Order: sequence, then structure tokens, then C-alpha cells
Amino acid sequence: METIVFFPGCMPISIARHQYRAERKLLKKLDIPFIECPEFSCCGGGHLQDADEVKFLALNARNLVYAERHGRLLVTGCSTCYQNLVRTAEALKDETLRSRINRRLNAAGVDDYRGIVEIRHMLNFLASPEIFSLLENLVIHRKEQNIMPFYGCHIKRPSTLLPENPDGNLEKLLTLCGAFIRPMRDPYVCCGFHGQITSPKTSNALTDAILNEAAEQQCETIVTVCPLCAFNIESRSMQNDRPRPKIVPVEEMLLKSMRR
Amino acid sequence: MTILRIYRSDKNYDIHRLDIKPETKLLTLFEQIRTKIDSTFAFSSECRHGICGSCAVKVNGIPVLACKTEIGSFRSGVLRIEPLNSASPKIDLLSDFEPFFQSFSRFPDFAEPGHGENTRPIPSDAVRCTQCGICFYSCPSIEFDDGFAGPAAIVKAERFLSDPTDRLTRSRLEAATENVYQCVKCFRCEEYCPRGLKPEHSIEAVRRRCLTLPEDSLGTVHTKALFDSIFHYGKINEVFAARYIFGFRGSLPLILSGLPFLFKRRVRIRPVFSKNIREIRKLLEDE
Repeated sequence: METIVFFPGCMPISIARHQYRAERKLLKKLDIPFIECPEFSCCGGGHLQDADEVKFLALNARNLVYAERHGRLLVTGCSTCYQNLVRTAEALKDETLRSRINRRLNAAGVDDYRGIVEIRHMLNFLASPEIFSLLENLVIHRKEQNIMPFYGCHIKRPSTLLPENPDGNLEKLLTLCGAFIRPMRDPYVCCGFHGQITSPKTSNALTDAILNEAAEQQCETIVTVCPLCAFNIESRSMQNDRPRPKIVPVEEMLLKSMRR
Repeated sequence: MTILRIYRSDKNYDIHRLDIKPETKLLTLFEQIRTKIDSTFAFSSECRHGICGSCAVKVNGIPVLACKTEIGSFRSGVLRIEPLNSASPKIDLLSDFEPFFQSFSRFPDFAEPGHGENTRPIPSDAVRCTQCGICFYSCPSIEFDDGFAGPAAIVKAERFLSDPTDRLTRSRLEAATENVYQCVKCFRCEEYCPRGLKPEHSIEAVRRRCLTLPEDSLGTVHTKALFDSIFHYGKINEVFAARYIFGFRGSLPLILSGLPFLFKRRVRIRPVFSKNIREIRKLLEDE
């Protein structure tokens, strides 16, 4: 199989290392060769474009240049990274902008961005038929529990920009793990992470709504596909006395249902 | 067979079971219901071409223009149709638009021409906004945070901010720095805008202009903190950002709230630096 470039994002490296470990372990179990570049930087976290759009594009173009050195497919487990990298790749299809960014990259000692790398989200990658058939052989039904799949917003929106429709992918993987799926009314609702500091009212209300829905549906576990959602929901659930569901990244969920 | 659950006043829903062609427009259906089934059924519409923006409703929670939406475009065979402003509906599918129209007054909602005679306003996409209210009533920050001006008002503010002939830039930015940072970046406005506008891009553009103000607000400090963190480490460092925003003492509660994650072996204490950090710093410097 072709080598994939694994882009972990900042959070799995710093404060969500369980997801980072799970992602790497899962790729190893699936026998998928992967490379992670130590040169990778932050994608801007959704906020760098608030400071300077050209710098935002240049920083992500640099990430893509390093990805291009090692492969043709970049896979990331973070929805915000996914959205920002796709946005950069789409914006740089414009020749004038690309040559402007390339001049900037060259001045900093980085190669030209060529635009040959495909960007995929880990969830969509795992649920694609080829990888899913590998998973089917590895996953043994283990945990029968009520699970609420939560997608979050940046994996789907804006759908005019993002190339893949994740509908049903998470359910497909969870059914494989033997979960009883308790669907949310709107699994693409925002968790409020990006407003944690600047709009705590909205952020807390959104996160509480997710936790309340999990409690209503008597879910022991919420499975997420983005480390930002997972961190936000989990830290909010610790702040009050309501029942605390486990927040598990989908990669960890899959690993748990495999043979050790 | 399509099942329609249409909101009528006082949380009652009318249920209609109808055989309809999937390409029928929602608005045509409303008109048929009013002429053939119930003449008291209230909804608003005008141009029937997606230009006036008066027929917006929510279908299964998704805001759409009734005149442009086909029945068959929804996967579910059951359509729950509600007014756009479901928090305080007026009568049947008519919404209370007052809060939406009020939101525009957060900024000076006119341009005051002044600079030079040869400067022309730059054409802006924002003039295509029809003020249908879809972005406003699908925005979570509008629902929970009074501080937020709302996507449509910010799109309009950005249109004037990018106009070199306008003289009210300063007062517009002073209003903006208090009213744009509540966005949680959920991209619903961009997803649902029937005119294909990009309110998130406008919000980013206005935020960039806010950084030019001499006084800092929480929002501008937040942006600067993340920028500086990327400049120093190549990554977002949560401790660095928290200290930057709230100061050493102020950030302690926030940093301590991360302790449970430390005990779960999820936190790397030593900061991570990207390799070849010089390249990143060079890219983030001004040209």
C-alpha cells in the first residue's frame, strides 16, 4: 500500500496524546505505512486567518510542501486541520496566488508548492471501502454499549469547500465495534471550542446541549472525530455534577475492539 | 408519500399526508395547502425567485428559502416545517424579524463618503445579501450571546470597511471589536446562505481590521496569543496562550483545570517545537 502522510495536528501532540497514540497504533495494526514529518506546524487553529490571510495560506502551504515530499495522500485526525488544509489547497489552485505564496515560501527556504497532495480526514479514510475491509478482519465485537456518535462542524461544513461527505461513516465504524448507536438530532452541531475564550456563553451552552442529549439518551460514551471537540466536551463535563459520559476518539474505540 | 408536519401557532403541528412530485417547490406546496386545504395558513413570500428573501423557513431544522427548495431534496420522507425564528414565532410560519433587523444598527449602517474625488468604492459581494435572516437564525452565538452582531450585519460592515470612500472606519471598527469575536466558527451561515455569500470570510476580514485598533479587546488579544504561540513554537501551546491572554495569575485556574488530563497521561509537559522553526518564523514575518 502507498505510504500516507499522517498530520496529527497540535492538540493530539500536546494535550490529547491518547488520540495520538491510538492513531499511530491503529495505522500500525492496519499495516499502513505512514510518515509523520517533524517539520509540520500548526494549521492556524482556525484563528491565524483572523490575523493575516496570506500568512495563514503560506504556513499551510509549507505543511503541504513537506507532505508532498513523502507521499500523495495526507490524512489528519483533526477536523479543523482538515478544513484549513483543504481551504489552503483550494485557494492555491489560483495561479496568481500560488506564485505569490511560492515566492514567500522560497524566501523562507521552502520548496515550491505543487498542489499534488490529496487531503483526507481520518474518519473518511478509515471508512473508505479499502481500509474498512481491513478493519473488518481485525475488529472483534467486544463492547456492546450505548454510544452517541458526534461529528462536529468542521468535518462537513462548509460542504461547498470540503470534498468528502462524512454522512454515516462514524455509524459504520461503530456498528463494526458492536455499539448500540443512539443518534443525535444534529450530529454536525458545533461543540463551541473556537469560542471557549471569546464567547464562553455560547461555547458552554452548545457543549451542555451535547452532554444533555447524551444523558437523555442514556449513553455511556460519546465518540468524536476531532480532538478539539473531545477536549471541549470532556473538560465541560468535569465542571458540573451531571453524569459524565466517556469521550472517546473513534480511533481509540476501534483499537479497544481489536485483539491486543 | 410525503408527510408534512407544519408548525401552526401555539406549538401545534398540522400533519398532511400528500402525494407530491419530488421536484415540487416548498412554496408551491404552501400555496396549494392554503388554496385547497386551509385558507387560514399564514406564510410570507414575494418574488418566488430567491431574490427577495422573504420566504425563509426551517425544514427539519435546516433553514432554506421555500421558493428555491424542492421537496425531494431532503432524504427523510417526513418534513418538519417551522418558522425561521423558532424561538419566538409569530403566527404559523411567520417569523419575528425585529431582532435581525436591529442587528444592523450595531454598526453605522450607511457609508459617509469623503476621501478624494477619484476614489471609487470597490465592488463587494456583500451587496448580494437579501437579508433573508437565514444566517442570523441559524447562528448559535445569536441564540446564546447577546454580544454578537450576527453574520449578516458583519457582512454589511465589511462591505463598508473595504470601501475607500467611507469615513466611518474608526467608529465601525470600535463597534466591531466588541461585536465580532463571539463567533464560534461553526460555518452554518456559510453553509446555508442561499446567495452563496461567505460570512465567515467577512468575519475574518473584520477581525483582521480590528487588529489595527490601538486598544486591545479580549478578541484581539486571543488572536495575537495564538499567532505568537505559532511564531514561537510552530504549534499552538495552550499554556503559552492562556498566559498571554490572562497573565500569569489569571491563567492559573485555566491551567489547573488541565490537571485531570495530566493524570490521565494525555498531556506532554515539555513544549513541542516544529522542526525548522526558522522557516515558520520567516513566513510569519511581515514582508
